[in-house]
Amino acid sequence: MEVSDMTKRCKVLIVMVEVLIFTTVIVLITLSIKNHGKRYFEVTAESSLTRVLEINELHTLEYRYNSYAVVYATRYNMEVYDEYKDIITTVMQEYAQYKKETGQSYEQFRQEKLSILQDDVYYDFYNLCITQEDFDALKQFLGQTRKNAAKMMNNEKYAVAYEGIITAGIKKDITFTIDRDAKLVTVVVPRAEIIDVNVRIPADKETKSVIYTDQKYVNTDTWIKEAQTACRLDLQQKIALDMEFLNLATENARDAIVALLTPFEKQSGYKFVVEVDL
Amino acid sequence: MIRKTLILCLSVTALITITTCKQNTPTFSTEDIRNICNLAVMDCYFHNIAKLNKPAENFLAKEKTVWLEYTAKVKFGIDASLIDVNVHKNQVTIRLPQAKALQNPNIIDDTIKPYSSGDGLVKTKITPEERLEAQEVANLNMIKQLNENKGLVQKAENRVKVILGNYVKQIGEFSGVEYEVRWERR
Repeated sequence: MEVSDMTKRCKVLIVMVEVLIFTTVIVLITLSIKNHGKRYFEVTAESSLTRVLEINELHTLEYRYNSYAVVYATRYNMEVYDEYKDIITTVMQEYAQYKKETGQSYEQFRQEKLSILQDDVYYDFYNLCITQEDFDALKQFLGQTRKNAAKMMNNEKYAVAYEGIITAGIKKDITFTIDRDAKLVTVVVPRAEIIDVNVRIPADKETKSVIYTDQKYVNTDTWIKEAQTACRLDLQQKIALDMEFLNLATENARDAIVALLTPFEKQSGYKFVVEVDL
Repeated sequence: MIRKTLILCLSVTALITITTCKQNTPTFSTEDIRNICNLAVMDCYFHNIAKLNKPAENFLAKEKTVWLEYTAKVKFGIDASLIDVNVHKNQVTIRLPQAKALQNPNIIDDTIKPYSSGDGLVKTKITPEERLEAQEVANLNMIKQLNENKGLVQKAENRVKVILGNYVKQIGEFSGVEYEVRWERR
């Protein structure tokens, strides 16, 4: 009888131990599943965020900017005239000598000059005159009397419509900080910048993209090159003054970052703040 | 008998616990995907010119060309309400419609600037209605240009794919499942 009692008690004990082990296993599995996402983020936060924030194809976009440029007889102003009038003769002589000796282009001459010059009026001149075309246009402007130069400045030749494409977005790195105590991730998105500017002048016959103020400028050989330079400059100037445009480009990049971070916010137990670096 | 009953009760409890817990593990729904997709819509900024040519009204006037320069914004991307998501085991199939302009351009009023060719002895007048009409034509042309711009459409679709692909991948990593995403055209 006693032996039978002992056997029964042992069996009950075994069942209780089995129940305990079973319950423990279930609790562990449950906790493991529940916390997998959080633990995963705790371990991989830095590398995961870095990887996602480096998806740089979302950092830039192309924007359409159709506009028009008014082309004057010169694109330079009287400030430029007063600044460089005295040095143009010297530059012309030096370039003529350089060309005679080396046969190299103006662009090569400019490179060599810039490598040896310090920050002075000549240095500024070469930064203003990048191509042979710039040099010729400036030479023509500075070759005038002051009165004629002022006249050239206000002499409207034609207006030309163009189709512009601007690539803008984030150039600098996106940074982030993780505050594990406060369970807070702060992401700082740099402000968008202009990355590239392209202009195209549509064929005149189809789109009537030129208004001529003075017929004598029609069909000149240099027309299209001059117009393209003017349009490019016009677009660069308009965009530089257009804060709304860069705000929008920044906002587009920021939205993409917020979208990329959404799964982290949803699963990590952290709060995410995405700020724009002003 | 007691043992069998206990084991049965515990198994049922375990099943309920794990099933309930599974609902807390990372999952995604069509609604989540649509919300994320809305963030991928691009605010397109465009600057445009409306061109207007008016013949001379009499021999003292000259034919007049007017360009109206203006800035407008338009949302361009994928209409999130048309996205379908189907999850089968570890395969996620997302059906996307083609990217397009999602609204009419919103013109920023103070950006409108006119430029015109010179007049003859008598001024050729351009009425406000003619200006508006020219602007509407320019807007339609711009929308057409945007929708037909394969590069832009592709870029907008790619933007959505990168963002949604990342979303599914991250959710998978959080739940320890490797999801495979399939893209289909709706």
